[in-house]
Amino acid sequence: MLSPEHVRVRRRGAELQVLGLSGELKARAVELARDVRALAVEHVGRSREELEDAWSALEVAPRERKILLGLAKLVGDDCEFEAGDAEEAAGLREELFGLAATLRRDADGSFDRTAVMADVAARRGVEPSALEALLYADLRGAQRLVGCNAPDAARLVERYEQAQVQAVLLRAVRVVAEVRCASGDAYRTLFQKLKFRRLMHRVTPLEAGGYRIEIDGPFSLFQGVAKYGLELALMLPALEACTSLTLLAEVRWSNRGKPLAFRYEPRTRLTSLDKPSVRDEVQELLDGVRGLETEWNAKLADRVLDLPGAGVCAPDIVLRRERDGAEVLVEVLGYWSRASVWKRVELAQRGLGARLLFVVSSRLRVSEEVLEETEEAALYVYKGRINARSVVRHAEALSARA
Amino acid sequence: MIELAFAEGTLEVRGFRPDDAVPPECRWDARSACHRAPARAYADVVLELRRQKLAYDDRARRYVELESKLALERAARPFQEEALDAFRKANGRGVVVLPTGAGKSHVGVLAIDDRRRSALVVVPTLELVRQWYDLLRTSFATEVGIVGGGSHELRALTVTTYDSAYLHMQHFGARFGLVIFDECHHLPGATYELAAELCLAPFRLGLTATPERPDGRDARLDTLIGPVVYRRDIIELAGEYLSEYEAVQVAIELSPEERSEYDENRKIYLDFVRSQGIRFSSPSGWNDFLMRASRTPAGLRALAAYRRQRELALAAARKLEYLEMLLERHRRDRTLIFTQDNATAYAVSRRFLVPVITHQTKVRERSQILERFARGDYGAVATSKVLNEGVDVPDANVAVVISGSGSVREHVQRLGRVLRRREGKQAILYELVSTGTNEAYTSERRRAHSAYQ
Repeated sequence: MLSPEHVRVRRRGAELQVLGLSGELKARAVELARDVRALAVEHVGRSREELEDAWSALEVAPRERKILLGLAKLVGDDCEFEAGDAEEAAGLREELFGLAATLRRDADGSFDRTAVMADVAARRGVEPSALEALLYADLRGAQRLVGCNAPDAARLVERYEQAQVQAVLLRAVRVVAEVRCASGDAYRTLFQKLKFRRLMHRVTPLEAGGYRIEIDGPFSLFQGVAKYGLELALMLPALEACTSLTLLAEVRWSNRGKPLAFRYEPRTRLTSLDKPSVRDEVQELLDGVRGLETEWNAKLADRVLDLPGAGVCAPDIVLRRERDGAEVLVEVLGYWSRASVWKRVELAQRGLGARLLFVVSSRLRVSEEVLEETEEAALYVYKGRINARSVVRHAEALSARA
Repeated sequence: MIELAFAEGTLEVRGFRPDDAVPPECRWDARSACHRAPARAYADVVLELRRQKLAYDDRARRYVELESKLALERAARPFQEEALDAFRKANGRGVVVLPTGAGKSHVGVLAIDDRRRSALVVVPTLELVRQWYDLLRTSFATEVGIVGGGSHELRALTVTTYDSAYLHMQHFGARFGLVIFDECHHLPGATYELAAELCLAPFRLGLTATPERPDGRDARLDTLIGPVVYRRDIIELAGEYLSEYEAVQVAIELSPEERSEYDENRKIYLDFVRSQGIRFSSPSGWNDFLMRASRTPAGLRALAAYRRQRELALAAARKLEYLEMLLERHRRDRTLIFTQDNATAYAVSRRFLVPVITHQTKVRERSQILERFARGDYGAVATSKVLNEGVDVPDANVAVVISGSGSVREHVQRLGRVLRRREGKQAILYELVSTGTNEAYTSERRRAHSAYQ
């Protein structure tokens, strides 16, 4: 990941903007990426310090400086280095410095460095110059480059542009993402990632569809801190995977200044024509219900039910009865985990504000009776394959409850 | 019943009834439908619940009473006892300010024994982790945990770094009843202070020789730890509890070649600064210079010239010649050589064949170098900044500052390395300053302390 010093930004009032690459500058960035990569390949077998010096010696205009540093960081991350023998170097230092200390303490006249080097070199049967090279062979700068796996120049520049956004989010205090996903699976993945990163969120539906998700951490309630910046930056790929994304971050770009606003919309995005990724069993159920002669219509769900303090539920399918518009949301839990079923049961018992049918495999050893007393939710436990007719029957029964 | 839970460095409080008075630090958190307070406020929240006689179920506190007692009784000096007493009177929350070498760590050990709760010691460097680890293991005859430098082992007594505490306190902040922030002037930074905010420990002790910070954030120590409860300065303890010392400033002339190169580069740098109307008297002056310098070829030349003139002043050839003479003069003493940067520290090591300790030196080699230095096998050790603070090298009696920053704290800490008392010891600190360069001004700034008057 890039650091803020690799990023080309400008401030416009209270806003922070990442400077994109286009036209001549983009062509120059590709050229630089080619040079940076080529130098790495040429330096295989030489030290990290030599490679870094070679990169620094590349002539660039002031506005290209950060691009060079960023590209060098990305290529450096793709390089493999071999450290010198730390034991051998430390052993040499111990011997050399120990002898030097004794001679200095006991010397009447001035200390003779050359004599100490010659003495130790003779004991080891090597030239003094070899000792000079070995003395600090275990330092980072002395590591030997053994290979470079960096991609081609065009891909490097693409990665640089993506990495710039992540580097800005490293300093983010809070992120507000307006997202739209085409399936329950996509929403579920997004919220699972938020939970995995131990971030907190507030979800509000948008009038035009989709959701506004405010993301920060537990301590953010008291103070805007950049502590969650790494987690927020790591959330970016999951947010970018949504069908649409507009991201607004509050960024603490310098230690002294006030937080700045950063807005980001990915240049390439999926359109509503793109087919959402849907699990096979969900697609089968959808097709199964559509193939029945029933007054229930089925379509993919794109909504999120959030119960603060309890959790989030993202159903897969919406069943809608033509006659009266009654709706039942269906989440296919399959045979994932017993714990996830109990989590849904707990959510349902606390009231999700919609009718929910959870479809669960009998392998999870859960009984439908668990939610029989609950007004808004029911369980359909299936053996083998999900039966569309049974799903509709359960939906009918659920809609008839109180 | 009210429930308290520790959640990611905060305190979740559930179950207030509408007419209950919510403790001041608790706020309603719509994200999780509960009240929330920083973990730091745990003691205040509990005291408030008790005051209101509200029943509560405390699932937050995960610290235990310490089983091990002090196994190695070391007589406390009168000022150490006074410091402990002041800490007790402040309900176990406060900062103790004592000069380096006066035995701050012993005050910490006494506080752990006094509070008898599982304790976490937070320190700035891995070298100090090693030192506290040894001290606690010997003092309490028990295993001690370490978090940092590749280790992650939590025990009732644990030592960690500020970096690790910032990263991990949200996970283990409920497991300690006492937290000691050693060299606590580091704590009130924008990031490190979260180590105190996310920790639930009701008892908090800060130890430092120099609490003041140039950014004024030392005022935050009051909230994060507690008020300064005890303070003694170097001049009050020198002679009786600290070694007598002498601070010598040595003026070093640049060679004619260095002088000419210095003047040439300084002119390029200053011409640019003037042409841009940059004012270094303004707090944003330096950032302004960096920003403008990065925009044009002339600016980049000015930045390179600035670096070169600084390098010439900090590492003037005659400084190393003078160092050679000092190493000769003090060849039977224990000398610490301080530099501003790693490159100079390694250059000193190569030229004079003395060991060097930088952030790149592995823990095992560091320990070995310091052991050999303590035994007298090595007469000198070079270092950049990692030995500035807290490191216990009682036998060191000579410090040579080849270069440093303008920080008063750094300079006082460096002097402190040679002040630990030994019978008949006379400590001496040499500060080598290139005359007619900007370094003279830097030296003036760092000597603005009573220890150098």
